Amino acid sequence: MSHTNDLTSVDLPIQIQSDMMDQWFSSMIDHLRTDHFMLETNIASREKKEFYQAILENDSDKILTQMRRDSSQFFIKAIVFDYLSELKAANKNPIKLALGLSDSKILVWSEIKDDDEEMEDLLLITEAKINGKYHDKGFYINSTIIEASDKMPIPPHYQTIID
Amino acid sequence: MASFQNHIVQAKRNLSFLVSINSSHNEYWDWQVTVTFYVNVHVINAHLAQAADLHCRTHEDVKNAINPYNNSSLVRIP
Repeated sequence: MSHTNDLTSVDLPIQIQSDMMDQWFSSMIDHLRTDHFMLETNIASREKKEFYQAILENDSDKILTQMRRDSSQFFIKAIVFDYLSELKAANKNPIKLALGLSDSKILVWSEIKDDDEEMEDLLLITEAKINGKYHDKGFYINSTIIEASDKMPIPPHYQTIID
Repeated sequence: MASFQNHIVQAKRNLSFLVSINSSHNEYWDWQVTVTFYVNVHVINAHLAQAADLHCRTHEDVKNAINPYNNSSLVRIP
């Protein structure tokens, strides 16, 4: 079940807020119906089954743990997508790029040509843009930038994106 | 919690140490870079303490406060 509309805005006229609420409620019911169908026909994912099982058992600890996991996955996916999109838009790549994960930190390992300050600036600005957008959600990017002459291998806990 | 003045005193002390090792040693460049980093950490934290009464607990919090793309921070880099 996904909640995509921002219902927190207080600046919108009451009628528009009410319409948004109706739209959100209608969408939520549609999602519940879809989930119900998937559970009945046994095609729901394991995570979805566990989520509804936890609701049925009134297991608030399990429900919140799963919601936290889902929310982390959502934000990490969005951050990685935005970060790579920003780099792609700049049409300039480092020699190597790898990503890792440490709690709420997305670790970026970049290798650039020696003295390539333009690339270094681009990586730092991209990190700043993404962190400006997501830091208040509790997630952020932390970059390590090395130069080719440092001759340092990508650490094993990173996933290579460009090599 | 460290004040503007506390940070400036520590930055000057670190800078003094940096001048000292720069004048007598060249083989400890990794530590020279580390000391330079902490000179700047204290200068930035002095600015945050003075400008916004902000006392950060982590480097990440400092980075977030001065991030030019953090629209909610009053002390972001313009």
